[in-house]
Amino acid sequence: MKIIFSILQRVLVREFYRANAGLFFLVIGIGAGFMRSYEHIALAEFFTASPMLMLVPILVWTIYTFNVMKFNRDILKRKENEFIFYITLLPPSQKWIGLFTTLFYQLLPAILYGVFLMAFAVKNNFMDTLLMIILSLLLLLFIGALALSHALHNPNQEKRIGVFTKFLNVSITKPYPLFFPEWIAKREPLMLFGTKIFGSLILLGITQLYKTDVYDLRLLGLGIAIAFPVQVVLVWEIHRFDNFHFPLNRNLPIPFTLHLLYFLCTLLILTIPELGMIIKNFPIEFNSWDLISSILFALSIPVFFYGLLYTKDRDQEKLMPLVFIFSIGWILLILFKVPLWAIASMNLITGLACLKKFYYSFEYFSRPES
Amino acid sequence: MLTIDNFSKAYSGTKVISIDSLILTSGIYWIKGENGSGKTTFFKSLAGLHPCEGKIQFDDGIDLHNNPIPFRKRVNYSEAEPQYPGFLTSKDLIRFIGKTKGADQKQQDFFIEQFNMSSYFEKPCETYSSGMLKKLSLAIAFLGSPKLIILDEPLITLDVQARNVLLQIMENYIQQHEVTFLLSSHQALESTDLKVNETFVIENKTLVKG
Repeated sequence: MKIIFSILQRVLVREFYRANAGLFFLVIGIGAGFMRSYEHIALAEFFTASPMLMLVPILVWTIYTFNVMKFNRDILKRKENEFIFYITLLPPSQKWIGLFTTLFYQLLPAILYGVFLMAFAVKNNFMDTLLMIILSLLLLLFIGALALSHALHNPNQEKRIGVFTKFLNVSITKPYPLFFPEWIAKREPLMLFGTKIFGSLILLGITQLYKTDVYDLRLLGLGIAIAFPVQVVLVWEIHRFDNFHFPLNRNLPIPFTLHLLYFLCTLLILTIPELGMIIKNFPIEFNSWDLISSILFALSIPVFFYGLLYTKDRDQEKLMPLVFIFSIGWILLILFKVPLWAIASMNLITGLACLKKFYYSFEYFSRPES
Repeated sequence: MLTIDNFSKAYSGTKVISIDSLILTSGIYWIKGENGSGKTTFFKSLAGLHPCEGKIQFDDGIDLHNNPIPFRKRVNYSEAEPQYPGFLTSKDLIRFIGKTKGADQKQQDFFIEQFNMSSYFEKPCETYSSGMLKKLSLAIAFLGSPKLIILDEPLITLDVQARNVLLQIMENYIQQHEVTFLLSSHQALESTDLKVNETFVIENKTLVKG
């Protein structure tokens, strides 16, 4: 039984949290960064005060559960996970314990917040909302486990292609810079939109501060030094797509400049919301050179990490501490009045040098093949 | 002609395969070896998918390590069990890879027709059977002007018609373009009309004549 738990944890639970890291960044950022403890308490008391208001968190939990269900379905479609269908051969009791435990861990954020709300419902003697919380979480857990069981018992369902997708496939030939954006939007949409919302909100908040007081360009620089390192989860995925999911890429005679151009085009497509936020809300007191150096600094961060990823195979757990350390470094440099263009230049030179030097020698930790 | 000298490939310090010296001229070379012997690793290293040690050079001096772009223009590779991002169509892949390999649209369309791919050319790969994926992979392996084509298990999952087309194209490429084919197959190639130049077996992590 232990091995079943271990497999389900690795394939479904750990992968789910890794895939949605951007979303959790966003939630933690808002929860711990923007809201204070008394605001959390006030919100919890507000939700639990009436069954009608309680529907708001229940709706959020339901959307979250549907996302978990979609994720589980998608992950079971991957060829490398076909072995997991053997779980259906287990005795029913063992199978269901495994599935419920998996769903429990996947729904843990909702369950923990539910427990937090339950404490206030009990404290204020709101028994109807307490019952709603318990029933809704149990129901979502049950639906999630049922959906997972259904997916396990019905493998290889025929893939339906929508009319619009069919039309696009016939009408256009996708250029390479669009490969990754479509791949990530289909494979991990919540992570994509989570990182976009988080980055855009940070930049929106920072640029709004300029309307209330006088600050120099460093404040925007600090905002970029927070918003763009978050994009590194996407850069890590681009790197993985280029070298792992589409490995034939490494056999293609693509010159360095063209490879870089493809990456920059992909990056520009992915960072349209953040760059748009900088351009649209750029403080009027600064000149166009300040705008250019801000955008250069913003783009230099993903370029730097893209190059760094070629120096050594790093998973996200190993990469994130580096992202944190470098972000602190950039923040310090900005505070010590190092111009943004200078930091951007350092990042670009380092990133491009790493990319050039290590591109062909890079290798994932691989097992010997047949 | 391709010369391989002091080739070695290791994973985390553990040697997988090494070859002291090997010269491949135009024709077919059959690499045999049991599962896990290092055939695919050898192929992927030659195709530039995995880094490796040693000198791998064409007779005009184009070298894997010193001339990575021209080398990759001459070396094409078809995987044993090809997988592509599911949302991409054969059209997306053949047009993109064809462009990088220097294949004009006429050549691309020729292979689409030869491998009978027209009916699913504009459908995403996630809807393909393993045989359809194999045909796509083989069509990609002939794009451009390759001098070395590496085919890992080229005959598995292919229907009889596609198998005959493949063998015919290989024959033409050897006759007309002096291409070197390096292939692995657990199926007996003697049953085909292919004239194999030489057979090698991977034994004790190196290549010996079979």
